[in-house]
Amino acid sequence: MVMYVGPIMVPMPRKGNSGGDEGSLTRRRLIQVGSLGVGMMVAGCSEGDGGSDGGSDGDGGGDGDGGGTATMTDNPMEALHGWTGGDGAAAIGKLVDMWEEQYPDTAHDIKPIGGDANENLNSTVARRLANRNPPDAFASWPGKTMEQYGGRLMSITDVWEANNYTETMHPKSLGENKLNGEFRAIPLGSHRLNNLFYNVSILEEAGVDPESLTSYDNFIDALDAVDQNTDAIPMTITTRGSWANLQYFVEFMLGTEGQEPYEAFLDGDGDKQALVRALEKTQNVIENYTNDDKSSISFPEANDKLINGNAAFFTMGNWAYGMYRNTDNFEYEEDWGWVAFPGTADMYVWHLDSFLFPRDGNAPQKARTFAKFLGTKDVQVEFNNLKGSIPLRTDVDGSRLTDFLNLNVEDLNSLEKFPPTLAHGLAATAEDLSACKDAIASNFMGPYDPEATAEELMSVF
Amino acid sequence: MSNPQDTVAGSQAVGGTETDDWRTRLVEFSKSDFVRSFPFWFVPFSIMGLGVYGGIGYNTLISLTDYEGFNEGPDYTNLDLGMYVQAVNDPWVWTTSKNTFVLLIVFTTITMLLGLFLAIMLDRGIRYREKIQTIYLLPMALSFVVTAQFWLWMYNVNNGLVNTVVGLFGLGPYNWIGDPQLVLGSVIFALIWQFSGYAMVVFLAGLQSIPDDQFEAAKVDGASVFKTYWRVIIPQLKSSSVSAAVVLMIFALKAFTFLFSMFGQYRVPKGTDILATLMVREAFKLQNWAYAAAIATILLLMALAVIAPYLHYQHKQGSL
Repeated sequence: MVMYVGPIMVPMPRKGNSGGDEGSLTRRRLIQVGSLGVGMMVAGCSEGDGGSDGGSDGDGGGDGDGGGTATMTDNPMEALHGWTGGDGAAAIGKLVDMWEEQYPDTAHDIKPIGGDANENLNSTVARRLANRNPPDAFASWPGKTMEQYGGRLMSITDVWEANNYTETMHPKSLGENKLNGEFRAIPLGSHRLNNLFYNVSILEEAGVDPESLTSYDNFIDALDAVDQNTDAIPMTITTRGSWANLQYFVEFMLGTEGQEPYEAFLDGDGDKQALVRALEKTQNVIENYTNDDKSSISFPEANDKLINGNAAFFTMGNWAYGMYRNTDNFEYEEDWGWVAFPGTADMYVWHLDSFLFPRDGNAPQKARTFAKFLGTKDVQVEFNNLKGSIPLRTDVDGSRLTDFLNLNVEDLNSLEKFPPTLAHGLAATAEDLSACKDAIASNFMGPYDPEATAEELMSVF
Repeated sequence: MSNPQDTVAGSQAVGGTETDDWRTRLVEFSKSDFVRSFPFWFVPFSIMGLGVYGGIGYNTLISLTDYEGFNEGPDYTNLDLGMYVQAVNDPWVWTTSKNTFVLLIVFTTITMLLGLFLAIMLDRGIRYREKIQTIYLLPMALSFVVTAQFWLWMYNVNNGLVNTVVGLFGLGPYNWIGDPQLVLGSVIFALIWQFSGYAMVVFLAGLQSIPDDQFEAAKVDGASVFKTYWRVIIPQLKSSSVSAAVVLMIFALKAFTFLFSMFGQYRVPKGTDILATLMVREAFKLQNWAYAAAIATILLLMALAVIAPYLHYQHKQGSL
């Protein structure tokens, strides 16, 4: 091998270097021409980059105009969502099946962007909106969260009106899906936030009557009873992310101070002492009645403790319910139960999952069809039954929903207090929500400082 | 290599007329090493230049604008340092800068010392060398997504392995992730675990390129093992340590991936929040593009500031 390679390898470079004979001249020219080509390509790319702002604007406008004249483009309808696992994946899978059944000729590209709490979805959407390459629809929170997309969303008011959704959707959801006077989103489901789930057998063992859980003081008595009479953790929680602590604070605030001080706080007119009192109660529960490993576990891991019989109470948006339903032999009212978070029985803490519709997408007509599709009764029922959220259509036959969901639907349609969720974006713009999380992360994730937290939260609004 | 070229070019110049001087020069130029090597270095150079230096330049330019939100592109007509002023007055920038700095320094230093120690041990020809080498290098092959998740489990305050082990010595349990005083250390420890094997391999390669004669010569001169390494061997590992340090620092800046995997979001506990996570939050959650670009530039300057004295020293020593 060495003998063979040696003589050939060594003369080769010399031949190339000598540059005199014609054979190597053509080869060299070839390389020169080739490299020139590559150079031009690179130059072309960089020019393209430099001009991207102007260039792609034009593209988007062209396609958008094409859609405006109500002609279908050949582009597939691209919708982004964050439901990659568990109930969410099953629910969106069902939705895609229904779409393909009802609109077999309408090409679609409904795809998940993975990651906890829509983190990657939101950043993908932000990147694509900034690059003027928007998807045709994306899942997000409406309300104040939608404000950050102002100017980049198209109006789908015509879809709402043509399909009478303005009458059949829950009246509270109308305003939340409007921006600058026009509908720009369509709600798919609502999760209720003020839930207290419990493990039935532990409460029986502790001698706690769930009906008694109507106030903070009763709740503390129940936690004490569990602590003294059983081996279980009184309350299982996660504090891995500051959103969770923010949500706990809001629950206690609503349960002990009420809706008005909470909404006054959101309006920038809050009473600091009310916040301090609520934060102190939150701190009391977190520090004295919860699992030690709260800061390193996620909410499904926390919920597992209740399912496994290691913890009595758990509070979370009712997406947690999907885990109970997916656990074999873990039945509603036999193994787990639900009451409204203590002190909030007359409230439905309000959350919405919507699809938002950017302007200048590639398939605006198909996007409108998708919006119409999302509002239909069948989609709302089928999706939400799997997702564990509540349809916004007020004319849905309750018997088509699971018992637990139906109970929430009744509350949704009968209650009058709808404080919007703070940690899930309905009550605060992205900027304000981030500032609230900063306040929690700095002062209320251990060590807990209610005074400083209240101070900083008050300065946000 | 250049000699035959010169000869060829020269002979052509002699053969041509005086008025063809420029043409001769052009031919000469086209045959120079620069032009001939052009196709080989230009492609990678331009791709790298565009991606890295183009990116840095564009980022810096954005940081001088007031670009935010979705509706309007950056306005390049009115450049100022407003974003940097805002950053200096932002307490989160200070917190995260401090954490980033501690992470860079502590992680890089300990990883290199540990890697050097392991490399020397292996180079001494201990038993089961190959197996031990593989064991230490293996964590490096694992993705951050994997290691972050299992370190999270190991740091669990109730049933985590770390507390079980320190419990044997009657310590703890410590709340490694929940305690703001401990969380940065926990993250650094996990990163050290993952990358000390890499430092070991780099140093091992350096050690093995040192001829055995030097060990023998030192032995003949009566130097102890410690002194042999301290005076003779380690000083020769400078180029290894430069490359190890540079790569490790880059990994320290990439700790973003580790943190994101560990906490599942861009917002990580304040005790371990670094500039990279703050930057991503500002950019992709709040669309403060220019502010995020300014934070990115600060991060870059910080990395340069840390490594510059070291590179300068190495340059003076002639090992760079």
